[in-house]
Amino acid sequence: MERLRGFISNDNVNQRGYMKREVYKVIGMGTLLMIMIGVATIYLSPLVYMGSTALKTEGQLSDPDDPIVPMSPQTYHYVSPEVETFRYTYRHPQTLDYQGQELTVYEVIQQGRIYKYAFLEARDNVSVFIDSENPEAPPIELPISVEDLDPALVNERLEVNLYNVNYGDVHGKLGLVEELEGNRTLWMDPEEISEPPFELPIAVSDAEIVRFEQDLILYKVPVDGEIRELALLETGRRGAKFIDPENPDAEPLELDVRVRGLDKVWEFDPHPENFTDAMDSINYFKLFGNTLFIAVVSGLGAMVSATLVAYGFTRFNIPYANILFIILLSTIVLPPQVTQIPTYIVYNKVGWIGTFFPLIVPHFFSNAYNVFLLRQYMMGIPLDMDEAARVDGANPFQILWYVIVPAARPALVAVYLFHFLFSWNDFQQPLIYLGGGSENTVLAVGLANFTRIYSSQQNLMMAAGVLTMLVPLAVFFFAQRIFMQGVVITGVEK
Amino acid sequence: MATVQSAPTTQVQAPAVEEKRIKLTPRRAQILWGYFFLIPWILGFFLFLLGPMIASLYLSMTDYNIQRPGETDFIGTENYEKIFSLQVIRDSGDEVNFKPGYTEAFRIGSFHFGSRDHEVWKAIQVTLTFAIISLPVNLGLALFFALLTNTKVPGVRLFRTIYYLPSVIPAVVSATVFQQFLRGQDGWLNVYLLSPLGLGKPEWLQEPSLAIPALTIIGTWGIGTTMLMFLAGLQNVPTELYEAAEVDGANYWSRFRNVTLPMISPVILYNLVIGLIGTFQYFVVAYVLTPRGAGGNDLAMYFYNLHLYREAYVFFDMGYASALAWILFIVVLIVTILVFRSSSRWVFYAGGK
Repeated sequence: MERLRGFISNDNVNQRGYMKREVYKVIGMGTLLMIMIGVATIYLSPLVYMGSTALKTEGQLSDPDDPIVPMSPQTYHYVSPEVETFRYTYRHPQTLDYQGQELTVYEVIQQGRIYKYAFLEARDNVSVFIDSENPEAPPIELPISVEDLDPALVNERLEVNLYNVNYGDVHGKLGLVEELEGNRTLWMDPEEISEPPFELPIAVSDAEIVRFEQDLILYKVPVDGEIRELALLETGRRGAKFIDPENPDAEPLELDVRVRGLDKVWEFDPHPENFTDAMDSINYFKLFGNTLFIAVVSGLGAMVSATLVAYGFTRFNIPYANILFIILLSTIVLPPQVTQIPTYIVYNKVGWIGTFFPLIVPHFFSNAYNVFLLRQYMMGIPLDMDEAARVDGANPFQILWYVIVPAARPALVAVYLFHFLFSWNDFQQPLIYLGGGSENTVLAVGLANFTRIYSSQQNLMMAAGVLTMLVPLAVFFFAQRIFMQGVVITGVEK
Repeated sequence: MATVQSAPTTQVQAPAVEEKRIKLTPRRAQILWGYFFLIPWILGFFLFLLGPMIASLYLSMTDYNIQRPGETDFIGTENYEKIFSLQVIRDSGDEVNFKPGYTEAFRIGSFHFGSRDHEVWKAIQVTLTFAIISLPVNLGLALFFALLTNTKVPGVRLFRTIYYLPSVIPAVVSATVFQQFLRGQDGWLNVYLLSPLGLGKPEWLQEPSLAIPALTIIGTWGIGTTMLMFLAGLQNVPTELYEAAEVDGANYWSRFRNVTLPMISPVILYNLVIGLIGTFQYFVVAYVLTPRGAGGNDLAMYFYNLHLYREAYVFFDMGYASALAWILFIVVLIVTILVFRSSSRWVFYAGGK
């Protein structure tokens, strides 16, 4: 409101200068805000990538147009007026239409050649045949019985219409071979083409014809200046054929467009089952339990031991306290690799390799960062409180418990949370002490193994990553203030 | 509060009570109690620091291998000689023949350098390059973010949280995300940022020359802690100093150079030392990105700590690894001392310390 009033009553020079400054301020703030939003976008994008990839299928990821949010192209279920057919080679006995009679054709072998003769009639020890390739010729009489001959088979190429048949034990898509007399039909099964056709006592009208059905991808197509959602039927050399879902029975629209340049119609399609898949693959609950146990217990050790040591440093006038404290601080410079190898050998001797002890026990012996933080904090707690308690007969433990701990609670919580996070995120120590296997380890190592083995399945990898960082993120959001201030007090989060 | 006020009067009687029991003066009792509370640290210092350090120094002079502990020999400085072994051959067009056991580690111009552990030279080179590139980038960017979030822009606390957020994410997760995020063809950095800017689609994690820049990019994701330290430093700069500078007509840049930088120089020193220590021990991301710490194409991500890890826990050559660890310790120590020595020239303590 102040600012507005300045704008309205700009009747003297002073106020004009004030206004100018205000405008610059607003422009400056705007620029700053833009930079900050830009940086924030970049900083959050790996997390967005993680979240969205974790919810996608491999099919969605391999789509070259894959949008950021997990989406699938919307499809239109198209039932074409065309009937679904099946190309079928119908093998059946050959017949010959001879003067209104239907004769069966047999294979007759004579002088090493096969002749196809249609059987006309049997007459005193001879059979009368008609040559099927030359029916006009006079009938041939041969001294053989028809029972000794094989009928000639013919291959007829048919394109049979498919029907959904539901009769007795017979269900499914069958091809109609022939309509027979008296409401009988001859069928074939497209899945078993070697089997001969079979008869069913049903009429064609009892079965439902199968139409050509397909899920077509919807595109946003510009037609006559407006964008319409059309389903792509087929891509031609020039342009493509589309079906209008609002008018599916009409002829397909042939449009002169480049399909690759068109936008698909996307719909939100997340796949949270990736998370359960990832959980199963990395034995999540076991590793989660291991990680939690190590973090909780070692955090307790870190907090308690640092409290005791910081109390010793701040509340008792011990000689050489400063030198001891400098020694304590200088241990920060020592790379853990130096001490790790001998301790590994000792752990190996006492059988601790593969157990959680090396990840927990050392934390019960305090750590320089934590002692430093708690010492700084305890030095700020007034001495007269413990003096008073001492006068009341409290021993140093009671003073620690009833005076120091309540007063230093924020610092204690910070130490605990920082340690918890450090332990949860730690990778190198569990890798060394629990081995690189995936059985009895912590989440960080489990995730690294998973990443190596399933490197082609980005979605599962990202789901496993989200599952690994869930607890640190939750801790951070619930204790944000402690964190952001604690960092500054501790100086470092290890 | 009543007890607090009565404290001085009753305290006088306390020594008499103590004297009756044992000949333990309150002063002595206090010292004993004090040391008693230091026990966790003193024990830990001997058990987990001093003891292992001495053991490690001894191990570094043996050929101890945990799979063959019976065959351990004391070999003096042999491990250290192996690390630093170097044979120089000038390229004369003929085939380069090193002494037995030596393989080419690197070459400078027409000189071939052979070593008995050529990987250690590669590891040193990678680690130093990373330190030289990544540390200034991280410190500069963290300071920039601190300056950004030290303004009165609306929602500044939210931005602070967002910039800090990646720091709480496990390093393994960061490595896993960036493995995908930095992919050449479909990685988001290339697809949504570099490619639209006309910078192409570099193969960050395949191309050896891009390995260190890629790891630097990944590293900038976790500068939240450094940023908060700078922010605290900035907030401790007294506003009177800025006001005085403004009266003198100093513009933003000269205020930054002459007021801000000197005032936060102790924080810069602190972040520099912590950053150096961390960089020399760089491990997790390189281990995950180059399966099992193999170093990647051309060993472009083969850090010193990866070499140490593989020698110690993959090949179990713990004697040699101890020597590597001691070299690391000495280097970190020397660099830290150098930085502190130089700090008297550029670090300004407001209190006049």
